[in-house]
Amino acid sequence: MTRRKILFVTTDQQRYDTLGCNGGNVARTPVVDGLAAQGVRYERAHPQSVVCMPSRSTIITGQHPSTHGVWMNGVALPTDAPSVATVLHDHGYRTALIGKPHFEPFLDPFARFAENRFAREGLTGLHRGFEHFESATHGALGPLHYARWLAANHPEAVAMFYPVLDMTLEVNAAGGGETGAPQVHDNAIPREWYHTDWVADRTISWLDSLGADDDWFCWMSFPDPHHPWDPPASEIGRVDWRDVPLPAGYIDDPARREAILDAKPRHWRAWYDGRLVSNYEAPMAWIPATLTSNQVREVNARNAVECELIDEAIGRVLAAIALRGWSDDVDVIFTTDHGELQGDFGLLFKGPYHVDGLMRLPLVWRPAPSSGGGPATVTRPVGLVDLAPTFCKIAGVTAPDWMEGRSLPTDDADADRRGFERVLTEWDSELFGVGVHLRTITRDGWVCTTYQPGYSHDGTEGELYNLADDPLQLHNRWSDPSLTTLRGNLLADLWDHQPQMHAPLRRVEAPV
Amino acid sequence: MPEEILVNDRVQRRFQYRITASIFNYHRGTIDVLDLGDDTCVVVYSTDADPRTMALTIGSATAGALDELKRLMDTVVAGATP
Repeated sequence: MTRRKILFVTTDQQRYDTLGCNGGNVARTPVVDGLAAQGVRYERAHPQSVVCMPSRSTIITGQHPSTHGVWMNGVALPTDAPSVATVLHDHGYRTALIGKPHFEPFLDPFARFAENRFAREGLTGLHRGFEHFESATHGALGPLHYARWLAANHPEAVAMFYPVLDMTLEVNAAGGGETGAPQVHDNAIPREWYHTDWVADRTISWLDSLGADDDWFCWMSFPDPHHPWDPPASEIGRVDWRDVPLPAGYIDDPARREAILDAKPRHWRAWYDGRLVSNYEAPMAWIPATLTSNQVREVNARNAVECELIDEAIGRVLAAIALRGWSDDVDVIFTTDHGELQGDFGLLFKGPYHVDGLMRLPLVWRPAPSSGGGPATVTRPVGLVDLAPTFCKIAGVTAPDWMEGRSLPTDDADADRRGFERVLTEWDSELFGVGVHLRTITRDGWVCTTYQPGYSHDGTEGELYNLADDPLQLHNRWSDPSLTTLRGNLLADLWDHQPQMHAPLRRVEAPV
Repeated sequence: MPEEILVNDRVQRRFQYRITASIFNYHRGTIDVLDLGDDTCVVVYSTDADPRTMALTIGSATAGALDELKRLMDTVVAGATP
């Protein structure tokens, strides 16, 4: 008897509301919407970190960042760290990761990290439990498999991408498109050479190499819709930015926007004004206060195009799976590593800002039809930390003790029965003298964030939002005297469940 | 990564080099070995680099080199112990 096969699909930096099934009305995502209609759609799935490396390390280990120790971008996950892929591989699963890994720093001029040496040395596995490992990121530079494939086969396309970093190796602030929005760029690359289709092509190729009776776990990891927003120019006409509505979280009136920012901890307004860029993930030279409503529309349009290309690529892979006769036995899980501000509060990109734009993630689990699960919606809080134990459950393997999450609930009754009450999210960064440290708990319809002492904060600051009354997190109620007891209870619960930081603290090896 | 040796002074126990790759606007790496007079020494590996992102990257590589050097020296010492 064959076991259930697992197609795990991730994107990078995709908001909850970019999917049609979650209320999105810009991108057309019929494939993922269809999976959601047949499976379980999660309305309150949070990452344990809102940046790539810690979040992806949580996915593969099933541990919170404090436990696996990748506490910020630029900190490497050791190659012998726990890996759910190793667990599945040891239990006879064929395993692959195709696309963006980012468990180790990309900026690696001395080729110190295995992830970056793999393509250079012509290897495709075994790595972190993946017997097949083909890597890609947002562009055509660097040592990963996609970059080497493009340089070897279509060298004229390498320079067509937006340069993610500028001449000083900071995140590029240069604008493009019709509005001059940062990180928007017209990319002349043909669609079939773009990394989204490459990831799908390589996934289909690997699946085709498998035996009919093989059990397999495939992590298909798309680099988009993470900025730069430079999808193939041939596809831009799908979404006219002039027709794109402004996001609900974009506050058009600058005075009101700034008053809302002023009620949040001070690094919010300092970033908006261009006085402090507290993390590497946002362009140093870009001042959010200069962002125009048309730039927000154009960013959202390009982002939607990238989401559509991903949806179509997933459709191609599912069609290939159907051709192999596997459809009834394949579980599909779709999610992302973290969100994107994408115009909320007049901001773009990401950073130490624990609000829905960055924390509320698309998560869909379509169980294998042969397993008999019906459609459901889960409103209780879950986390990416729950994915690794979910893969184990699907495979019929006992989750190892080192995993901190639990297999995802299949409906709210299951969630209540198994005590899915809270989800935790951490932020730590120490970069060029600027330290920021946040701990967040989401439970009972509230999001509560406490700030530890750092460059901008003295340890007394925080944020408290009622998700039912204030779904856009416009009104910070941290200092509301009527909520003192509630705030205290949430913080007590947070500290009761927050793992201790890994000791010794892992070294920051690079900015990203 | 192309490099150029600037100083290799056995008397001062100083080694200094620079990376000449264009990714660096400026780079100086200096390794000093300070004799503590009790059959031990301190190795000081200092780096200046611009842009700052490369300073961060090379800083961690330098720290890794010192860790490895210490491991190597400890292994040699341990191996020499009767």
